[in-house]
Amino acid sequence: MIRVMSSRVFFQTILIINLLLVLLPVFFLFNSSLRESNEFARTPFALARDPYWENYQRVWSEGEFGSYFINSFIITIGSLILILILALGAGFVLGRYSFRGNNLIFGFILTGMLIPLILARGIH
Amino acid sequence: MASALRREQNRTTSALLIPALAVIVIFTTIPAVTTLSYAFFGWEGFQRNTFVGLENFKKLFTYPYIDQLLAALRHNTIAFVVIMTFQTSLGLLLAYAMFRVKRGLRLYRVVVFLPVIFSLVVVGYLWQALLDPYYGPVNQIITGLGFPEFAKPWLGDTATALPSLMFINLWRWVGFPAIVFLAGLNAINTEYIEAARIDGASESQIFRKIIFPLLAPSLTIITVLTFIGAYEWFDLPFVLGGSNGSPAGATDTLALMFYRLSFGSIDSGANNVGVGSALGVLIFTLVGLGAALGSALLRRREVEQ
Repeated sequence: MIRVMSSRVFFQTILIINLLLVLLPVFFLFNSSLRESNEFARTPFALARDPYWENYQRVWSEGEFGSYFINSFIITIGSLILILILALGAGFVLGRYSFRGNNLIFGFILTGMLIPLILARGIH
Repeated sequence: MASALRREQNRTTSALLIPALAVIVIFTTIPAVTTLSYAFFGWEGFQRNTFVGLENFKKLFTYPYIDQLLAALRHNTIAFVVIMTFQTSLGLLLAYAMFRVKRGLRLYRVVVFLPVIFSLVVVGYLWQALLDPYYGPVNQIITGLGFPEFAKPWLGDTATALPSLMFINLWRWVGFPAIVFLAGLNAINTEYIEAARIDGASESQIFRKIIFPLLAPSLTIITVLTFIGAYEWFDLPFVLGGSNGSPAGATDTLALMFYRLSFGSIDSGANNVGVGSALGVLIFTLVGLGAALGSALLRRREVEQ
């Protein structure tokens, strides 16, 4: 029982270390986003006691966050709809019906996923 | 009756299958095959000239390309071995820890997978800032702990650039094998583990003799995906080292070389689409054969539950 308990403590410790390794860099990113550039260059570690929200304002106005966000949104929604329609249909047929060439087509679709994406991106 | 049903099924099959196949053929197969065909033509910029047979492959295997090719191949191989060793075992450790821990499981599951959903470009720039030789917190921590000689320009030194990239890759991707292994662990019938425990097996025996063999299907998937990912490693080296794999080509990969040859770069000058496509053929063959062979071999070692 003691050994089970201590191994549980060991695993808990590993997960807490992982939690810190993941969240500290993310916190650093968030903290830096609330500081002025020259202040950051002087003391990159210091906490943003007096949050400098203008950075976010500038991302919206100068960085044109809005139009890029709309681009990403259109791409995401568009490909999601296409994927859902096409993959649902093809998956249903390949999974439920047995017909000649079923395995061949399934294999063809799988090999398509093996092709390096840069090749398909290609020179066009 | 049966034939009417059959005809109905055939109609549904073609109606549902043909659109999906058309998209795959138009957007993956045709572009890939076209790129492969480019390897057999002479090129002037983006202008295609005459058929030259295997000339581009010959060029790829002579100076100056062969040096770059071998260096890039070495980096990809190092990346595969190191990532496979450390990322996979750390992922397994995290998965097993989550499998054993009762308290906080939901939180840990989110945190472990969190970096995987970050934008890779953001992760790249974040770590570039963290590893900065002047104001980077990593070096400040190392110096603060009393080891100023270990504070290095991590991404700027040819000796530490590739290891740093592999570390950043690990930080971002370790959650993926962890979640796959956790799913595999949860699929194991607990009766096996309980029976072994009653028979007096120790914790490490249970892990080695029961849990690990039953995780073989997860390990197969992770190995094959890691292989494909390592030999097509592009995004992180491109974000942090540019298309030349700086510093001094220390982080060059096959995919970067393909990109450079096909599109040209500021430092390496004009592009050579023919040689680039020849390299594309080489990468495709290497990754395709490796992945097919690897998954066939590994699948044979899997055991039924």
